[in-house]
Amino acid sequence: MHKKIICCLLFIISIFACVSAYAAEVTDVRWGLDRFNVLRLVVDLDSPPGYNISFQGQTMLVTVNAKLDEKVTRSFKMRSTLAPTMTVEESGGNTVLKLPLARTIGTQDYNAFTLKNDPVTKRPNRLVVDITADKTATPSVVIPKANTSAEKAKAPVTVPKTTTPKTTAKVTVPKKTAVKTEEKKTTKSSFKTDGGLKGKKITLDAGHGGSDPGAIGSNGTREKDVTLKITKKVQELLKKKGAKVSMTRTGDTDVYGPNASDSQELQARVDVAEDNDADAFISIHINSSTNKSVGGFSSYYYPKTNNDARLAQAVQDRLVKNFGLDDLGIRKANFYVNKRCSMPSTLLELAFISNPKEEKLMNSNWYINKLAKSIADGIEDYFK
Amino acid sequence: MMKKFLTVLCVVLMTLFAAACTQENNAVLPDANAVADSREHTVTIYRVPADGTEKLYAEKVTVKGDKEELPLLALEALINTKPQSDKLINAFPKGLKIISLTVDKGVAVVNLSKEIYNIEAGSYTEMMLTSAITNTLTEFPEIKKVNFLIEGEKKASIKGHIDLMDAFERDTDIIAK
Repeated sequence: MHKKIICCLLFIISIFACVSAYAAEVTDVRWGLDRFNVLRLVVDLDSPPGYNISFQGQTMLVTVNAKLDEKVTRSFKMRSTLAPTMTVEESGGNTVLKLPLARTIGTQDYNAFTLKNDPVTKRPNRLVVDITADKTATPSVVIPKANTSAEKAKAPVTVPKTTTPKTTAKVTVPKKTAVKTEEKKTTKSSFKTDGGLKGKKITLDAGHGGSDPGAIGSNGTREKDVTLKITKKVQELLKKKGAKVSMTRTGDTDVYGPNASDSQELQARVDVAEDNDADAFISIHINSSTNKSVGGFSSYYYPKTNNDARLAQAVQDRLVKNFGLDDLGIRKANFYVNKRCSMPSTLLELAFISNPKEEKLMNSNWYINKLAKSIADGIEDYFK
Repeated sequence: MMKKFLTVLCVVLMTLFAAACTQENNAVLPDANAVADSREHTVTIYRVPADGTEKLYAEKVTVKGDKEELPLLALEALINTKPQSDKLINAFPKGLKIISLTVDKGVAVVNLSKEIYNIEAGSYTEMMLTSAITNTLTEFPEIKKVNFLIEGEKKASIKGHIDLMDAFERDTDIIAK
């Protein structure tokens, strides 16, 4: 009889143990602001979370179906003009992140997703909320652009530059001064698309460089060297035609600096175009394929303005007219540099370094000169 | 009478206990169930052509496993198996692993291992492999968009070309007719 009662009690205890072990718990809350001014909130949990995002007036509420560990910080001051503070509290068994916002935002202004725990990198289960309302360097935000760039200039940079760009070569590093920001307010997002090449601002980007050789041919030709040779020639020709040319690099250097993250390096290239208020941004690359017989030219664009495809086509037309290489055509693609600059832009893949015949061409001066002339002429055609 | 009451109480509690623990078991050990209804399924994956053109070719493959794991099984078939036709290739780097694949509200998050950095340099392969993964996963109606992580982290790109910051949508233009 007593045994049975003890048995029963044991069951009851195990049920409570079972249930309480199952309840999820928030173990940490963090925030960060990236180069694009996107505010990221990260909630660490011990099991995959259920969550909900709602608004109470202008306050954003991120409700996570989990208890809150006592060690978690309850109050944050954030370097965001949109959400300067955040409080974290437990309410009815849920954890609630409260962000009083400076203005109302919509569902398109944030993005939430969960990440499962990763035993390899020892990362816990996470809920990530990206608030993109003040995101910069995207062409979609045309009206508040002047404001956001001004805010960006004022706000302290959260990603510290660990290294500075090499100073041995003359790199067109944008100077971020207050005056520059003022100028930007009026000229930003008003790129010109016609009226001739004279006076137009063109940014040229020689693909790869410095610590990143790009693709390498079977005879050892490096993409970064070929793209630089071509780009410098294009610069010379465009200048002769009266354009104002800025370069992301003029030597064998990384644009942001050695050991930069991939996003720092790519964004630094876009920044050169943005800071020079370029009317067009041309990125010059050489392609590569495991199939050594593949060759030809292709010009890529991201359809963010009505002029991206037109720019790609103008250059592609000149390339295929002047060479007997294959015409792979113009194509839409998600290239970082094309997508994240505000002005019309194209990325040229000028033949294949993996194709021995084309690699040989890349090492001849007449080919480089003719290629540069075709590109410069194509850009001129675009501005007609 | 007391005895009977205790027996009933015991049974009720045992049932509750079993129910609570089954829930836990489901969460921790999905494999046990997977083995139970492991059946053969045909899935469509998208392969890169050997001729180096910017086209993806649909290939039907048979995978074995739980229906709920089909997106992962399709992705693993794409990365780990040889295409049936000589005209298609597997351009994924050797040793590449899918660290995790999660699907939440129509968005799949593919977490690739660092071996992805060993892909052929040049934008062609970057473009083809990200599109191959996206088109393979969006074959499943529950997946509308695909986000990429490398070793658990959001990256701007694999090798400096294709943007990995935003979610990918299905690209039907690239599929060979």
